[in-house]
Amino acid sequence: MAKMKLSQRLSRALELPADAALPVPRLEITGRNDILITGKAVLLEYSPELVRVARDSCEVTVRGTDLRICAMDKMGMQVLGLIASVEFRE
Amino acid sequence: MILKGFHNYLRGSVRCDVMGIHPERFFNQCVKAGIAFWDICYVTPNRMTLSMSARDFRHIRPVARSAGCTLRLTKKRGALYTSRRLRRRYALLFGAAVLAFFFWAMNSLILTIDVTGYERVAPAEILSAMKAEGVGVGTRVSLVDASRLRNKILLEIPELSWFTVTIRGSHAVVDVRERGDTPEVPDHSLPADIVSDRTGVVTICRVFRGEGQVEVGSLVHEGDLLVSGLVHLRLDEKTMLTHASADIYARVWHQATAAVLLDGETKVPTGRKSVRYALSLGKFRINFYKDGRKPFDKYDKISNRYEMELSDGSQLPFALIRETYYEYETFRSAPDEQEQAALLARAAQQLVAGQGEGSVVSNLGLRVWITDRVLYARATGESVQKIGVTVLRE
Repeated sequence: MAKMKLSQRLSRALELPADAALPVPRLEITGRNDILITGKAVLLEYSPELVRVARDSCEVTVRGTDLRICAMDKMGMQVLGLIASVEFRE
Repeated sequence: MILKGFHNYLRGSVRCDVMGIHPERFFNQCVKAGIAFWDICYVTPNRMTLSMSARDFRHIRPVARSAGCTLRLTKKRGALYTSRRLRRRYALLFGAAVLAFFFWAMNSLILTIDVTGYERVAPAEILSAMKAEGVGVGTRVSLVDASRLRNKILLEIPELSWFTVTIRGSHAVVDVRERGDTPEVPDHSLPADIVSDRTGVVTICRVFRGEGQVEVGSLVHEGDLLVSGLVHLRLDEKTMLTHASADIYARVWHQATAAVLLDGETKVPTGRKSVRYALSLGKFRINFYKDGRKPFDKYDKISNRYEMELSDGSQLPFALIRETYYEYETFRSAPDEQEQAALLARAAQQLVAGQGEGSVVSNLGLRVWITDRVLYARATGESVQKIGVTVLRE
């Protein structure tokens, strides 16, 4: 935790983009139907109502209906569907 | 998205069923192994379907095994698999090769050449000179060095002052300009005479330099001396040479004769016709008929050539040719003499009127006669013309 804070402080001090300096996924949401998760995220769970991904200690849960993973590779994944919420958990 | 789909189609893709306790683990293992996939559909918690490239599918088995999942191929799609299916369809392959050659030829070879801007130099001469330099129909566009060609052609055809070749696709446009005629400046320091160049009666005689040899009303023949460059100085009883100059006009006569055979033949169409089609491809011609012999003994032939033009007016190098043969029979017939005489007289009078060189020709007479079943018509006319040419004295 202390290490994270230090890296966070360092990235802010150096004005580095957080997704480049820290092990966190980057989310890009377009409207309600398209979410792009970039970074080395691990897929934990996938169903039409829920997509759960994690990177290190950060976990992201996308809830909605008719969720579908459109594409996935080592750069990230794209999720399409009607997005209801995005939750974060440490 | 369309581009991505086209790329996937070109490299080939497969659709698979993934079954296992945790298909998500399989997805993560794929990502770890650098295998990309798309269009993941959820079927049940233990079964999902996905698409991946055909190349990646070859390496997927160990990944599935390590993730504890089983994989089943359900569909193959893409150019790779389509081409395998079409591999034995030789006619299709031949057609594709012909199409590829056609596209290559349309873009790489000169198929048509247009020459513009010429007035006196015949386009055939220009094309022939270009051919001698290795540029013609069928030459590869990349081999044409326009600058070198221009230098060569301008040296070869001195009448040209400008030469450019513009190549658009397979169409070459040759634009030329010709040199203007340099007017010949007469050297007035050299002694010269004026000699008649036709027969006539002098009507106007204005001598500026030299000694006049004819008067108004004189009959002169071709070659007669009109104005002499040798001038007699009466007071000194000496002579001097000068460059004769004068305006001499004369009444000159024109004559033209037309003839027609009275024992003519009349063509009567039988109503039978034959139509043939052919395709012209540059220098080549493809006939769409088997028998190349003439369909009738006596026939009139009408050829129609249908060419395709692009929006800029340039013509494509192929054309459809339609040849129609109309059969006819001939019968000996005696034409109406009076009608033929009137036609001949009109033709002869038109010929005489054309000889006036711009001045008005007045009709003097017309004579029609028959000799050995040949009908003749002779028209004569008269006009006032400027006569005389300058001839240097030796």
